[in-house]
Amino acid sequence: MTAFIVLNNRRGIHGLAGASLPAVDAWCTAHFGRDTLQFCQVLTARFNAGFLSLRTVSAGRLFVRASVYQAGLRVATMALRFDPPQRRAHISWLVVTPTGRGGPTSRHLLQNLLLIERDCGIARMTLQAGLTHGGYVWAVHGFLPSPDTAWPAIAARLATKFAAVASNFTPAHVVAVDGLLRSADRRALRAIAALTMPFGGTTLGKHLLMGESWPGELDLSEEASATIYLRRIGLIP
Amino acid sequence: MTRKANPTVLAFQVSANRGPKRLGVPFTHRGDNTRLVAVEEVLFAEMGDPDLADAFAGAEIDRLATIFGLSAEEVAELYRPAELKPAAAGELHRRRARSTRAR
Repeated sequence: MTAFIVLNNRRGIHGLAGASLPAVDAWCTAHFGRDTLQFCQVLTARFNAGFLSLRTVSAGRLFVRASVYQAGLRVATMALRFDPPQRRAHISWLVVTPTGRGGPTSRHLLQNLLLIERDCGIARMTLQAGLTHGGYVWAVHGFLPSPDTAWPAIAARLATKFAAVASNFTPAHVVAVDGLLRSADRRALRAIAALTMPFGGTTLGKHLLMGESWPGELDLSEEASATIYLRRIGLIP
Repeated sequence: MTRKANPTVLAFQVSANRGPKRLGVPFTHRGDNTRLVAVEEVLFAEMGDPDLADAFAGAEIDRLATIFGLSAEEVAELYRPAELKPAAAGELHRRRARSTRAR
């Protein structure tokens, strides 16, 4: 039971279909303050076209799958879950085609997503940081391990990884990095990601976090995290 | 082609199993565009931009230093700005001169 929305933003043409469209429309009106079409237009703003599948799940949750197009070619696809009663949005996956690389595709998508989150009263974004780059990339986008209790296990893995390369660093460096990894404060992940000592053709922070997987959250109501995220997605310098 | 005459969203509605209209958008479900790349990889590539080379702004580093009790020396050692490659540090690429005269 899914609603399908097709948008051609350049020509101003759109189509809506699906038996669950009334439920999706009711969700958009209740939580977004505007109708389904406007929801989809915001999510695909600055893209030529979009094809979206939306589905309401249980009370107040909306699943969204969206493909966006530029110049007739698909440039990205994403799957999201909005949960306004919990003030939470979950990014299930977000992929970009080779066509969309090197441009502002990913940033524009994340900016559009932020607009919807703002209007839906979403204060927390969650995701599973992983794949080859996610462990590092989401850390420097302001995400932190969630729940707090996830951090010690991540720190233990990072400590093992660091122990294997510690001989490349001065004793003072080793003591400082070990101190961060022993901290119970999950923000130590951020302090690790920021490490700039060169190692293996990159920085130590990148080396340690690349290939890692951890459950992450970004609390938009927390100023430091929000500032990092807004800077990363290009909304503030 | 479907053009919605009525401004309300529910004005156009068809059964779920009918599927979306194409509306002139050349959907490529298969074929030329199947090699998808995780957005993490794309964002990572964007971070190669010299403007974004440092993981966090100085203010955030200072905040982390306060939280974790790092001294100024430790901050300087651990979070020294990453050295940029000559090309990224502002060295301009010069266009190679033509080997043959333009006609």
